[in-house]
Amino acid sequence: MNSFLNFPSIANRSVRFALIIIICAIVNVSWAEPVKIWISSQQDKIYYDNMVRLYQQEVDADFQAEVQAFGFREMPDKLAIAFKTQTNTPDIVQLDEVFFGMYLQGEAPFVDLTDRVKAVGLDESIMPQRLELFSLGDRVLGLPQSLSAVVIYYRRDLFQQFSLSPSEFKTWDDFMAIGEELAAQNQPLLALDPSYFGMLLRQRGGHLFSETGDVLPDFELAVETLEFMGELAQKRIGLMPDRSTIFDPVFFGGDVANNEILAIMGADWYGLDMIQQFSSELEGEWGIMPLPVWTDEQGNPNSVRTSTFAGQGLVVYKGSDLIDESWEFVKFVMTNREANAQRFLQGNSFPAYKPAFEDIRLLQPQPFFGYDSMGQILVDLAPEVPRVMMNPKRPMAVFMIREGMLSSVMYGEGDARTALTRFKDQLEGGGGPPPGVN
Amino acid sequence: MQRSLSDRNLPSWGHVWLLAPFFVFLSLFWITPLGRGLLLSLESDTLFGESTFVGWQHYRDLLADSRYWRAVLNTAVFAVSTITITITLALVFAHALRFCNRRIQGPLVFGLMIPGLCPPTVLALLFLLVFHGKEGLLNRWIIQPLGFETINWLSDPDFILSAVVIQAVWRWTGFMAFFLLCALNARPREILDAARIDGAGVWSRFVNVTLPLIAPTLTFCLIYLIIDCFAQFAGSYVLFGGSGGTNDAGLLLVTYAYQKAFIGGGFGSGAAVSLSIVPWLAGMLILVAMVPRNVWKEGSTR
Repeated sequence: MNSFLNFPSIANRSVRFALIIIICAIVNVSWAEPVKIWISSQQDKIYYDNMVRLYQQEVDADFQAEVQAFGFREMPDKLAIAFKTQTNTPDIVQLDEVFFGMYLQGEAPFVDLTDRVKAVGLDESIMPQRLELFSLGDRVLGLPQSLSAVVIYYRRDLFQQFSLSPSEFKTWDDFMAIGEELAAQNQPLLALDPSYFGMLLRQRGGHLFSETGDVLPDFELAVETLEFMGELAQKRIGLMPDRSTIFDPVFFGGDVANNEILAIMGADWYGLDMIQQFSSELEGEWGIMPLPVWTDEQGNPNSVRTSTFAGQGLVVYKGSDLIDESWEFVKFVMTNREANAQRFLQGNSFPAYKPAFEDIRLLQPQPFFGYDSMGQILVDLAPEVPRVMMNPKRPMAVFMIREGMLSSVMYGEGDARTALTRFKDQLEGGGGPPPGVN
Repeated sequence: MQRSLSDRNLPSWGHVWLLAPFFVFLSLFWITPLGRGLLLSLESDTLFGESTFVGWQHYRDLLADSRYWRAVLNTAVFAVSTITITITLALVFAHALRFCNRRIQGPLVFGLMIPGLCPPTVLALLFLLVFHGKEGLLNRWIIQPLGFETINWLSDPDFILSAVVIQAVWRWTGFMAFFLLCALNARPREILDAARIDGAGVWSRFVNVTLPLIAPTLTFCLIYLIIDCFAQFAGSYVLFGGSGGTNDAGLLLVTYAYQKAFIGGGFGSGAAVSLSIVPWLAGMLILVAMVPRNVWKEGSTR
């Protein structure tokens, strides 16, 4: 006890303790801080773990990254709290465009990548309509990883059973006529999800927001589109799945397994990921076709053959200490040939990076889709993918549409004009400042 | 040494120190967040960077927000329906349990309490199967055998709120029955015997003797259920994915606060919705605490 309180002994211990602290500090400085990457699905985590290894092999052997996967809905919640409290923030975030707008209220928390993107020519090589999606005004705040072109996934076996051919579905009028014949046989044609409203509106050139932030600038077109969806439901051409959504694999998978629908409308990632997961036993029984086109009063086509919905992108946190390291990794993932190919081959999404369209691996026929080449169909449709106007209120708008705000029309409990007026009023009534106020 | 009456009414410092840890934690984890929430509700909806002080703007916005009023109405309907059905069923079950053989009473009480012991998220996941469109247990075992058309419980706006009520009733009825069973067993036998000898019928004994005697337990049950109904989130989040379902038919106040903060990116307006629940909740609690007391007193002096 006495020797412990001895002064020289305490001094000796203090010196040793200080030395340990100094050594720890030196080690800490020389030890590269890992780049923290937040991902919104387990499947993507596997992809990013592989990409970190590939980056270490090809670019920087000392690169360290910590990939954290969260649930699709859980991650945006955690990210919002991290930004608000500025605690435990990531360096790179993989964020769906549906949630991206949520973080644009006030000062955007993402690095302005405009100059960096231009410096490496990504402004030319990424599909412009997708790059615009992760931009606010002239500033590029993120890079899109997915083309998110919408197609129709149809059941080959059931089409054969009802003597149908994809070539018969040239226009939505054709679709409605064939659907009525099937409905007479008590067979719905299409799974009907509220999110189709935005998809169909965009296919016709309409928007949820204008460039200046107006809600439903093409209001009459929106009314007509929602009325069309209401008609599909009322005539039992479209089937409202349980929980009213095609994005709930547990419920909707049962509808598909019971042959309750013949077709689903969805983006590339929906076919690559969700359909293959909830209906893996139907390998080879699915086919892919472009959307039927809309026509004018004379019956002439006046729309593109595809639309777009959601899709992931990569953003870099503005407060990060590793902005340059993060950007280099993001650039690698966006431009590397293998990184783009693996994203498609591992069932994540079809890239929005144009040079990747020439990779033969992306254009191969796929057994799951009856040897249709999803890649070739998407490459053909890519130039037609419509623009989406980003807006801080976009997440709330998509949420309100997807979670039932307009479903009442499909249930025949209200008219499209009233529902959309309410939708417009509520969005205009709240949800933060207009875009560009930063 | 005998202490005077006034001395006995004064708290001793020893007691205060015993309670101190509780109040320290209450300040840290309840009053501080509440105060921070209040400040947040007075700030602009800025997620990143400096917020600006907007005063009572978010509260004024709520007054003109039709979705907010829809949420208030839904929450009130949900609370009143859940509480009425739960307490009624719990009273029936508690009475039924009293007449059960003592050996099976324990297992039965435990069985009734299981839903209340389940985490609400697990229970809601279970209810996804109960409410499933055509194949769900409710449709297959009750609705279809009764000859009705199947109901899409989670999508049809006419039935969405009923689904949330059913789930809450299922969760709490057994638990409340247990509390009420304890209260029924604690009634003084001589009072019941005296009422019977005086010629009071079953209904009269229940209203004039039993109800006043179990009033404190009933009040506890009511307060517990009211707080749970106003704080209801996990169940409806799992059932409707954070939305209020079709046409906002099942939109509750806490869900709306979540939407404002985490979908709309407005932590200020989300905090305003959360804090706006306080007067509604306080009003309900005051009603329960005050009105029944008069009723019980009146009943007990009859």
